[in-house]
Amino acid sequence: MFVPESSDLFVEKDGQKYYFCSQACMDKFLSPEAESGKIKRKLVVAWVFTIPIMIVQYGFPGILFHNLIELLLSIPVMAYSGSLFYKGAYHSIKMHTGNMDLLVSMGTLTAFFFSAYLTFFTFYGSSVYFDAAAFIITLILTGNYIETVTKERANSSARKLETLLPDVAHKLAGDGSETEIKPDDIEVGDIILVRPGEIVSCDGKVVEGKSEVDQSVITGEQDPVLRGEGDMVVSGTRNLNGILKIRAEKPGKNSTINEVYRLIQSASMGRVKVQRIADVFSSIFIPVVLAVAFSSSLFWYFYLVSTGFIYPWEIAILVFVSVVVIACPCAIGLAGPITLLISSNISSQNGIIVKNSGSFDRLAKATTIVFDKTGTLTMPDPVVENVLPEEGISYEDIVTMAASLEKYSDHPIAKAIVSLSQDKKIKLKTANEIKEIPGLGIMGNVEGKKIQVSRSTKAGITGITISVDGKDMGHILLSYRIRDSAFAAISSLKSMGKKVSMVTGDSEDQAKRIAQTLGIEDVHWGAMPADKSEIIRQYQESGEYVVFVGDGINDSVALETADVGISMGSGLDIARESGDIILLNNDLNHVVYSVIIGAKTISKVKQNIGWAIGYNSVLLPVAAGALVPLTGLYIYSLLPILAALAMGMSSTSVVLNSLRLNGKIRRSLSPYGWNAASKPNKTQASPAH
Amino acid sequence: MKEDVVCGMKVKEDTPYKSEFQGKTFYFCNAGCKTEFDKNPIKYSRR
Repeated sequence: MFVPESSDLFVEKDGQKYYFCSQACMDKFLSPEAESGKIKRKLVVAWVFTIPIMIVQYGFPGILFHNLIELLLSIPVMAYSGSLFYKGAYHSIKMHTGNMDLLVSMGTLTAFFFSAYLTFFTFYGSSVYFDAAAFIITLILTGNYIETVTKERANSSARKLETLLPDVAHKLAGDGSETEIKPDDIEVGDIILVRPGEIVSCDGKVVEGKSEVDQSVITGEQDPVLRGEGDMVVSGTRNLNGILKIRAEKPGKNSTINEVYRLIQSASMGRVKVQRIADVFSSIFIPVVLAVAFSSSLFWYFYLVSTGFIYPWEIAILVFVSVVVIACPCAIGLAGPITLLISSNISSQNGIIVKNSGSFDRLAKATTIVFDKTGTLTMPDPVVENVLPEEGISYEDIVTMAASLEKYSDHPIAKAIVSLSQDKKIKLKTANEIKEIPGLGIMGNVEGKKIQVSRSTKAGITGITISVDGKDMGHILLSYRIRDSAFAAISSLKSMGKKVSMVTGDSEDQAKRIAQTLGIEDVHWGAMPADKSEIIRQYQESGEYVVFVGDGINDSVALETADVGISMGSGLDIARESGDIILLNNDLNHVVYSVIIGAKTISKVKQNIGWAIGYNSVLLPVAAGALVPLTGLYIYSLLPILAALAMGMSSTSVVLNSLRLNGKIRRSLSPYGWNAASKPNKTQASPAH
Repeated sequence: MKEDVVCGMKVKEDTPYKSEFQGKTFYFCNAGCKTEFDKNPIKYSRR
């Protein structure tokens, strides 16, 4: 609920200030497990004493010292179980605002002290309402407990990440000796040994060994990936079958698993635009409720006095208790956060990390999806398609000449040529006087001959030409393969009525070839990073809500300009990635899932807020006496208890309705291959040509 | 109180950080949010 910044209940965490409406909310934030245990103890005490009160009240109404027994039984419920609400009410009064605790406290304390007064100071057979006071506390605590347990369950995937790291890591010293240390004590540069079956304790680069690694906890992909020397491995992933030695690069709090956990937590604590309605409602609600409670109470008192009714005070007080209890706004406060919590957990389980929960709003409005080409629709690195030696030159000769020079370059084309030579087990020769000319190629001497490898991209074809002493020896053609998932993703987005566009820095030919293969009509080529951002802005000016899908590091300007930026993460460096959403695996169907999850989340938050506001609007007049003409004043002997029941039900129904989001999202996504998404094919690409 | 459309914080109308866009005034909690808004007013004005 809305809390003014004057509140003295706040916590600073990760550079952000969090304000709380009550001590209970702050305790829940700081230590959810301890808070859950505390609520459970208070709840047990509440039920243990409330049940005998109900038995005495309704089972043995004529018993001697009936009122006194109920008073004694209700003291533990009021003093111990109810203290949670009184503390919250005290803080709310201190910060000159109102909250749910204030309403519960006013209702229960009024019923309790009025009944105590009747017990000691009246001599006629007036009823007491200790049962109402105790039952209200018990039911609301039950609602709170259900809410806490549900949140804990919904949060389980995030918490699973936090507890996933092993207790010990095996650090190797220079002499090869092994010591056990805590993962938090790992320092950058330490060499860590990870045996088969163990969890990787920090992010780092493999310096020795080869093994398959299960990355499903981070990326959602079930198939293991092969990791060898020079590859990155991330914390939380499981080493399956080989021994790996890793040089620590990001240990402890900076590791990927901690970063993912932090992002899930911050997304679930974020806000969506529609919650502003709940804020406005909450801020005016408490004064309105108190005004209704006092005025209806006074109305009934004076009306009953005028009719000669003998217990006008009793009815007036029961009206007051019923109104303040029935109108507790906790369902309104729950409507947004519980839904965002569930959504961000469903997303993260499938490798969709929502960095900014406000993006759910904009995803729900998305009209145009703009894709970057290289590294997004296509694989980031080229592969060799064809080797074309000149007459009299062998396949092996041409690859040997090219790879013997290219092994000195970091260019993606060079890596593809070297990879081909390794696949074909071609032995490379020693080269010297190596000179790489950016944008053109690489040259050097091999066995006394001057070899030149010229790289070029012409008419949509990427390739190299190999020449020896100025004479062409042959060509190697390469291509950027389209991701398999691109076909399904684009077709799904179109079927959902979204416009799909592609922007690329490549030539017109190459851009059109890929776009045509994928069925994208709207194509922009020759675009530098700033141009991509300008193209997005033009769409926005024409009224489109734009989602841009691109590379998290190179396309950062376009990702920031778009209404929602989705970055295709490498799964290794989340902190550096721009954008609102990061896809930890490179399956483009997850763009479709993100759009659907956004729309379903916002619709559920709206539904919850609608329910909560509707519920309060309907029941408030009932508590104020709207049904008395139909039922008579007798309704007030039950109304405080019914109010507590309805109050607990409203929170529980919002929680249960939010839980349905899980199934709803799964059902909506299944036509788009949601189940298949967690088990992608091992072959991730198909040829572009 | 107004809402800073960039970071979501509540700000007072007398904040020194303001921008006009399409006839409407937007209020910010600091210079960083104002700069961010001015870079891409369409995106933030629709939030």
